[in-house]
Amino acid sequence: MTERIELLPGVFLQTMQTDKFKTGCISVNFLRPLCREEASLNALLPSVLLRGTESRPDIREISLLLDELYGATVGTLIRKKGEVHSWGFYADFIEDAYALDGEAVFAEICRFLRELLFAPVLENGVFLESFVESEKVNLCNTLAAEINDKRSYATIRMMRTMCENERQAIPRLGEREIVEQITPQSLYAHFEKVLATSRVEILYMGRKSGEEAAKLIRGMIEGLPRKELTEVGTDVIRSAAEVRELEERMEVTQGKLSMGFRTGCTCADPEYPALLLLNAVYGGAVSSKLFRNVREKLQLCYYASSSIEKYKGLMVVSSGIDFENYEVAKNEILHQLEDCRSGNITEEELEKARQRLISGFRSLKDRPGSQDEFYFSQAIIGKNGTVDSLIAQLREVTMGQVVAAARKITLDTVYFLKGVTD
Amino acid sequence: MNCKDVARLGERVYEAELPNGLSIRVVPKPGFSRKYALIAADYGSADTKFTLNGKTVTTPDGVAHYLEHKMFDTPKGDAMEQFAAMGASPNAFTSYDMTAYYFSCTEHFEENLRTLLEMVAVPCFTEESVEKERDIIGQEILMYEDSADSKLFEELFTAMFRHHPIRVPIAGTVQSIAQITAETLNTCFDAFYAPSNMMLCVVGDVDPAQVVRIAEELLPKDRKERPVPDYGPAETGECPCHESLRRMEVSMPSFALGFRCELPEDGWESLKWEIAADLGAELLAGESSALYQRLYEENLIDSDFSGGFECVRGVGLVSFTGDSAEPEAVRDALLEECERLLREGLDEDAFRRLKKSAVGRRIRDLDSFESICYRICANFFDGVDYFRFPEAYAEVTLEDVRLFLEKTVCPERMVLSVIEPKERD
Repeated sequence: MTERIELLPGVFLQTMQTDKFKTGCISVNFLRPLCREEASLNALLPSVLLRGTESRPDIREISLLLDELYGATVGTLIRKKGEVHSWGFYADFIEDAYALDGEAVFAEICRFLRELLFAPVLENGVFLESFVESEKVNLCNTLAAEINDKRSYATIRMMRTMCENERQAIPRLGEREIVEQITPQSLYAHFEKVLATSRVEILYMGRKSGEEAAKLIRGMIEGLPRKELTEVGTDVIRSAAEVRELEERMEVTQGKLSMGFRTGCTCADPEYPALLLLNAVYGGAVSSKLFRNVREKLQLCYYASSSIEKYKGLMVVSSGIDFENYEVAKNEILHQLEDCRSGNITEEELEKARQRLISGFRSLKDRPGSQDEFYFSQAIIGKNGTVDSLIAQLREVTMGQVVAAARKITLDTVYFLKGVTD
Repeated sequence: MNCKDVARLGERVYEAELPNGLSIRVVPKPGFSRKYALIAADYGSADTKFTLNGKTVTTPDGVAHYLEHKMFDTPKGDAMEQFAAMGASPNAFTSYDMTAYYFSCTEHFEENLRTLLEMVAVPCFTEESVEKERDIIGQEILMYEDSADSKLFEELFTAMFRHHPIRVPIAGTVQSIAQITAETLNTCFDAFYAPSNMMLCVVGDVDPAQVVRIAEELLPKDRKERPVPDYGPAETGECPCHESLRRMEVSMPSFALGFRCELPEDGWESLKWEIAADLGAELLAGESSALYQRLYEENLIDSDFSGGFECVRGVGLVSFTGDSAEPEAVRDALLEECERLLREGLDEDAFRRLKKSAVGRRIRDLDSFESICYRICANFFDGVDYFRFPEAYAEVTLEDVRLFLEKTVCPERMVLSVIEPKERD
C-alpha cells in the first residue's frame, strides 16, 4: 500500500493510498543537519514563506483561498528527529469526493504549495523586510513561551543539560540571539542554499492512486534546483558517564521532576522493538509500573510517565509532585526501573504492554495523517519497514529481550523545578 | 433499532433507546480496525445543586470529577487493568456539563465494552479508596493552578457571571474536595448515572445489535427519574466585572476576551445560534478577516489567536484568545471593528465562504472517532441530532449573524481576562 519513489535527485515521495477518510494529507520536508548556525534560519523560513506569494501576497489572501477549499489547512512544519532538522509544510484538506461543487481540491493545494516554494513575495531580490521582521518577533515570542508549560519546560531544561555538548541540545525552533541577527538577505541566501542542497521527503496520504499523486506532486516540485546534498545523521552516546542533578526555582505550586536516561538503543537498532516494550511496561501507559506505583500505590502524583526519544537513544521520565516528595519520588522511579532490570516483570505486565502497543500501531492506519510521522522516521533512518512489520517484530519480542533492553539503560540527568520557598 | 443513512456525509447511524432509558448510537466504520466506545452521563461540574424525587441536594464543588476518578473501581478490581489486559486504551473526562468514559481498541471489543459498562453500572468504592484518591486529585488541581490556560478561563468566568457554577473550576478546589465522602459520591451516582441520564456511542466496524444486547444485559433495568438541576437565577444585565488581571510565571501576556450571550431555549434554535456565533466570530476576527490581518501585521496577535462560541448549562459566551503584548489594544480594535461592520453591513460573499469552510471542516471531523462520539452526546443532551449539522448551517442566515453580533459584542457584556508575566527582579 505504501511506495517510495524518487521524483528528482534526492526528492522522495511516499504515498499511502486509502479510501477510508474524508481528509487527505501531505507533508513536504527539507532535511538539514541540526546545527546552531542553521536551526534558527530553518525555523523562521517557512513562516516567512507562508506570509505571501506572488499571487496571494498577504495572509488574508491565503486565508481566502483556504476557506474556498472547504477550510483546508496549510501550516509550517519544523521537526527535530534526533540531530536531523527539517523544515517544510503540511496540509490537510477535504477529499475531492466531498467537495460539493466538484473542485479539484488536492490539485489546488499542490499548486499553492508550489507557489510557497517557487514564488515568494520579494523586494530587491530578497524576502520582504516587514515579513521577516514580524516573523522574527513571533518566533522569539514562541521561544520565550517555553516556560509557560512547566511540564514540558522541565523536560526541555533536563534535555539541554543532559546533551549540553551534543547537537541534540539545540532547540527545535532555534535560539533568540541567532534569530535576532537574521536579515532578509541572510534568510534568502539560506533559502536558496537549502532548496538546492537538502534531501526532500514528501509524504501523501489520501484517495489518489500512487500514480495520480506522483503526477500532481511532480508538477509541484518541477524545476527545484538540485546540487550536491548535505548529509544528515545523529551521533549516539550509548551510556551515561555520571549522574548530574540540577534544580531550578520558580513561583510554582507543584514541583516538576524530569529524569533523562541513555537507552543504548535507537530505532535503527534490531533491539528497538524490545525497548519499545520495555518502555510500555515501565512507564509508557496507565497500566505500567510508574503509574501503578508512583501514582496509585504511593499517591505521590497525578502523572508519572516515561517516553522514548528513538533517534538519539534517550528515555525521559516526568512527574508532577509536591516539593518535599522529590527524594521519595525519584527513588521510586529508579526502583521501578531496577525491578525491570532484575527481571521483576510478570508475564501479565508484558502481555498487557505488548497488546497495547500493537493496538496503538494498528490504530495508526485509522487516523488521517497519523502514519506521516512513522514513514517520515523510516525515511530518516533509511529503513523501509512498515507499520505491519514493526507489529510482527513486537509479537516476537521475548521477556529476556525486554530485560536486556532495561539493563542497557543508564541514568544521566535529574532535573527538578521547585517553588521559591521550601 | 433504527438505521439512518446520511448519504451526503457518507455515514450510517444506528439508533436505539432501551427500556431503561439509555440512548445508544452506533456509527459503523467498515474496513477500520480501531473501535471506540464512549459512555457519557449528562452530569458535569456545574450540576452541584439538584432536586430528585422532591428532595433538594447541594454538593461540594468537584464531585462529578471525583466520581469520575472513582468509577474505575469495579468488583473485579481496577478497570484500567482490565482494559490493559485486553489491549485497550481507556480514559475519562469531566467537563462543566458532561462526564464521559471511553476506550479505544483494535481487539477484544466485546470484552472491553463489557468492562466499560460494568464500570458505570454499579459504584464500587469504599471510604478507604475514596480517601486514597484525595491526594492524587489534589495534585491534579495543583497542576491546573500552574497552568495559565486554565487560569485565564477561570478568571474570565468569575468576572463574567454572578453566581452560575461555571465560575468554579471543574475539579473543585483542595478545600472543596476535602468535604467529599463516599456517601456524597453515592448520592450523585444514584442521581446522575441512571441509564435514562446517559448515552452510549460506538464508532467502528462492530455489530450494532451486539452493542445493544450487551448494554441491555449489563446496565440496570429500571427506568429512573432524571434529576432537575438548579443553576440559580438567569445571568442578565451587565457583567459584574469587565477586567481581570493575574500574574504568573509566563513569558508574555495572554488574554481571553469574552462576550456573554443570550441563549435560545430550544435545542435546534440553540444549535443555529451557536453556528451564527461561530460564523460571527470568524467574520469579525477570523483568519480571513481584515481585522485579523491588521492585528497580525502589527504584531498585536500571532497565529494562535482564535475565536469561538461555547455554552454551558444556560449560559454562553463568544471568546477570543491569544497572546499579545497589548491585550487592551486588541480589545479596543475588536469593538471598533464590530461597530464598523454593523454600520457598513456584513459581506454576503464572506458569509458564504466562511460557511463553506466551516461545513468542510465539520465533514472532515467525521474522520475522528472521538469527535463523532463527543458531538453526538453533547448535541443529544441538548436535544439535537448531530448528523443534522449541514441542515443547521443551511438555515443560518447572514441576518442571524448580524443579530448575534449586534446583541453580543458590546462593552456591557464584555470581560477581558489577562495573565501577565511576573515582574522579575
